[in-house]
Amino acid sequence: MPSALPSSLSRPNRRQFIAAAGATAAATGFTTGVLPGGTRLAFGEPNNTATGDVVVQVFLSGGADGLSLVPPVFDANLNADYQALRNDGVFDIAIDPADAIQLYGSPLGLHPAMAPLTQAVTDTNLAVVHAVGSPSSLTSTRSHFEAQEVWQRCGLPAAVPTGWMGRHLQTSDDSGGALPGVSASSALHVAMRGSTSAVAINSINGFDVFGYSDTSAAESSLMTMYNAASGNFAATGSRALNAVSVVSSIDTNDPALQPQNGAVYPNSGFARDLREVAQLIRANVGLQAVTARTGGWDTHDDHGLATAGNRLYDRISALASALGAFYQDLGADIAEVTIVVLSEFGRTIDVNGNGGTDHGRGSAMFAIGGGINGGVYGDLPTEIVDGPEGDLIVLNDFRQVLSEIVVQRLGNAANLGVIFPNFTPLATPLGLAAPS
Amino acid sequence: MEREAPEVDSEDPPVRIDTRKRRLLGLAGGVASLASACGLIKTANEPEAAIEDVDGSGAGGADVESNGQTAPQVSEPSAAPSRSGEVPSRDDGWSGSDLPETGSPNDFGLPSDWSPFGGGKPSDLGLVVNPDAPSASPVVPVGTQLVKTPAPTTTPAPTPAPTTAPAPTPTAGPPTAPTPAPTPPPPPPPPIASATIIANRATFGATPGAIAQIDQMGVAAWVDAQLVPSAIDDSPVEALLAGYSTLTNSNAANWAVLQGEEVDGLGRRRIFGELSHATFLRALYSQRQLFEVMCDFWTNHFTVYLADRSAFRHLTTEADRIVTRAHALGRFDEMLLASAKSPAMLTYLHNYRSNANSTSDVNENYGRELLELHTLGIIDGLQIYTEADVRAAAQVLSGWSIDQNGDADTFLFRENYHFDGPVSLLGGEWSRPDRSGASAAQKLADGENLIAFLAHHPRTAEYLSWKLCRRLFADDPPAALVSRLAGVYLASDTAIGPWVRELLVSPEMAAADGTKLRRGFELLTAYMRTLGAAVDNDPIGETSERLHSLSGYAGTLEQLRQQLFGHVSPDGYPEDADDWISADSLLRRWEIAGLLTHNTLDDGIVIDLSAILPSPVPATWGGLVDALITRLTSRAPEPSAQSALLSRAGHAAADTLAPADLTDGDLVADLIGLTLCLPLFHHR
Repeated sequence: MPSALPSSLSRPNRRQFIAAAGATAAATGFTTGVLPGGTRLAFGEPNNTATGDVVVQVFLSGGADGLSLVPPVFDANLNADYQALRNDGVFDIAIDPADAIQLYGSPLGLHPAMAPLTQAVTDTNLAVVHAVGSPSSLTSTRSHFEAQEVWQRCGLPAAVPTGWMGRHLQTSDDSGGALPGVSASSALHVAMRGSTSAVAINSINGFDVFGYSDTSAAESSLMTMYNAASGNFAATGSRALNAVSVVSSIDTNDPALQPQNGAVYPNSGFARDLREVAQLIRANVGLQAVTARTGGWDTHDDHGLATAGNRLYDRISALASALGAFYQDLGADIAEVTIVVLSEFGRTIDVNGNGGTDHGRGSAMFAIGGGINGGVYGDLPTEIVDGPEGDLIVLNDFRQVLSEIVVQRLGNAANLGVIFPNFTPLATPLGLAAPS
Repeated sequence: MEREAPEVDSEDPPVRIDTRKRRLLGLAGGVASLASACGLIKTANEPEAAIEDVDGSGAGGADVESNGQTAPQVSEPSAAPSRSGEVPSRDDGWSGSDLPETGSPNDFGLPSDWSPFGGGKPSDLGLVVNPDAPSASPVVPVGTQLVKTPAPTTTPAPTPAPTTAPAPTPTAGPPTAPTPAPTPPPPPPPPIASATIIANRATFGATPGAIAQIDQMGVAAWVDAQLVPSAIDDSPVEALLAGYSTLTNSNAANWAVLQGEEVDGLGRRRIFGELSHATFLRALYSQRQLFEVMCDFWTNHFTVYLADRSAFRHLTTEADRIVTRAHALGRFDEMLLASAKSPAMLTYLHNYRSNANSTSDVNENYGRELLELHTLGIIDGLQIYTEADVRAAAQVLSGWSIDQNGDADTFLFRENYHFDGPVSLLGGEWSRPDRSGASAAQKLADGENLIAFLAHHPRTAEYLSWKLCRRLFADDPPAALVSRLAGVYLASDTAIGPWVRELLVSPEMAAADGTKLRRGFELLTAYMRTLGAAVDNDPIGETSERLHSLSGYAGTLEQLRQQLFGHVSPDGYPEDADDWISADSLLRRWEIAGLLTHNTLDDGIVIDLSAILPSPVPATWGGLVDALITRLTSRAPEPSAQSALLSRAGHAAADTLAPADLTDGDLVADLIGLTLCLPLFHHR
């Protein structure tokens, strides 16, 4: 790992930043250890020293088909089972080995539409864990809504009210400064809940107070009314006003903030989100944790053939081209950025009567970044069988992947029990992340 | 026959202000001139060129991923979907259940060559409606029994100016000047808590008139009257919708309208514009407020999202009519059956193609959501059914499909798709024997029987009651209240009226103020109802486009994360406050309040601020801000709210206020807008 921060990632000293942001920063300080509404934090002191890394969680909403994203076609036995189950004579939704991109000589390959990520593979900066999901001891639900909650919280909603990234930020000593947590969305994603500093930013230029004749007087007035009220709504209002003072100083037309290294983002909302995340990273606002999402993965019908113009191909292509552009844009800065791509569950192995697949358990997960040891990790199925519930059995716990990133890239091993409650990491880590 | 979204949507908003961080120049003149100031208030709805150069797709386009909420990728065949009457072959979108985490995605897949404002008909501004007008002299619905009518404690509001400007027809002439709102009523009486609470829960936003009406009738009598919507005259709002022909069309007729876009380019916009704007105008102006509130509840309960399915997008209109509006205060068992047989639901959740006798068996999508979202539910992670039950439900309902002969798009039972074997659910609580050789009628009846069984299941009663409480009472309702409602539901044989009544007249409700966050839709209607906004009723005019994203860029409701009929996944818009609270969302809430009070949201939305200002003018600035808070929030002013507004005014509470001070339109609009930003206003 490079020992020096890339210049564009070097962050201002936190205290300098607070001074720059003025008195407003004090309102978000973690030092009180008190959540909005006055509840004392259930977990310990913020004692993690931020590493300078940024983790970007990309959630594929709808239950992405891991067997299409990462088909097991480079093992004769697995491939034979896979082809038989995914091509029933009416519908052929199997990936041909000749089209797939083999991963590090393993039985696994990438879907041909993942081609924009081949550079990350070549750089050994892309890791895959297959047959990954929630262990049944946590939940075996096939409900989108339930599963998405569990994944983002790393716990059951009734027991774990906050998100895993939110808990990381709350135990990390930069959580009171600048802009450590951002959901690239109009919504604060569940994974980010619990942080008293994370904000949702749908677009950098749109993140401002609009609509009033005297904006600064309106901001003061809003600050008065929101600081005085209690509850998450009011606290979020105060936080929004503080964040406006940070975000509004970013000039998105600054040449230094434009896509670098020849990166060209495709035309999609998700790609725009990643482009702006890259801008926030370069703008030195103290970013540590980011969530983004992209949907369209609930493919109950018509996957189509693995060629352009077919539905699942185009969906995967849209994902990979955006991620590929982000990777290229970051260039050397990727050394301190980790992207983790996950979905609430996978899909059934057998093609259904409509050329699609129904909800299944195990899926595939990706980690991409300069601090990632490229490879295929975790247990792999030894056979692809249409089991009792027709899906890929969960062999690997998604929290293991996240926890290794927290330990190695975010340096927050001391708070692992807070971030992943009731989870016992493997005695021997998978090793997909290198120490920062 | 191309009729799908383009690959790239580069729709630009009509007005662009590219000066970032520009603070507003002073607006000239007083209140009356505010409407002319359009464009001077900066808005986030006017994105920067730098953004759009790279990604013009803000909200539209084929890759529908605005706002972090994602609609399924749409790439439809350019050829016309087959209309053959055999096996449905028009499927053109996949999963209805793409899953935004919260809020909505919102794209109607409109093509880029539809100019937001150039292609439509001129806006007609002949319409002014004051939501309070009809209620200023409280209407006692015909046929309603008033158990007890307390003597009015206040003078009834004065007779409002007539507000019955005829609804513009779509082909009406050029825009005309808006009619000023009627003379403001006198200050409302001191709010009576229960009336205010009910006005905020059972309507789309309290107004002085609504509060006075509930106060006069009493909560129970008002609720009883509202539960018989047919007895409440609603002709003024229905008159606004007179030209909305697609609302009552058959599916076949609306298919023809959809195809009509080939001719005039308006078919798709007309269908969604009429459905969305009718829903919006009814929420604002209907006297049957509780009925409309329940329609919103059921629309979300039985969410269908077909905007990305070119061959089926016209079906939503019929579902709104025959499922939601037909049964909103009727019986749940009948509504559930209507939903199960509605072509909209059958296509959205793929049951129309579910063929147990194909090589790969049934499609379980509808069966799953029928159990998870429509009936038995999951409450706090607890569910009483299994994966096998999901599959069993899908088997019983296999063959429930649609008939496309003659573009009818009507329900059709396809016996050859049906699973004939024995089926058992919930450990045998419901079962049926092998049906090999049985009649088609028997096989269909099995499904109807299952639907009825589910509607009457005690767990369904509990789940629906929990949902209703979460909609109208609080995110985390007390178990005793939920249980009581479930008992009423079962005792009344799934009738909805008594069940809703039990909640609204409950002592729990009477004691609960501010326990629910307003979602985006009801926040906008609350803003506009309390401000007495007049709204242009052209369903495909500029105003409708602005509100409902008909032109592909982020409309007002999309910015508030609740575009009507825009929730992609089948779970409906979320209830938990935390799902609606984010920094970005609050910025949009504040922005839209300011744009409304400056009359700059849209030319077709007109607000007369002079009607909001207290009359006579208070002697002090403190008196002014107190009056505004009381008038707009229907609650007593809190010191922090007073000081927040006084800071904008630049005055101390005791400073003398002169009438001439209120000719500063910028200040008045800011003050009223900021009053709407009070956290109190965002809670019901």
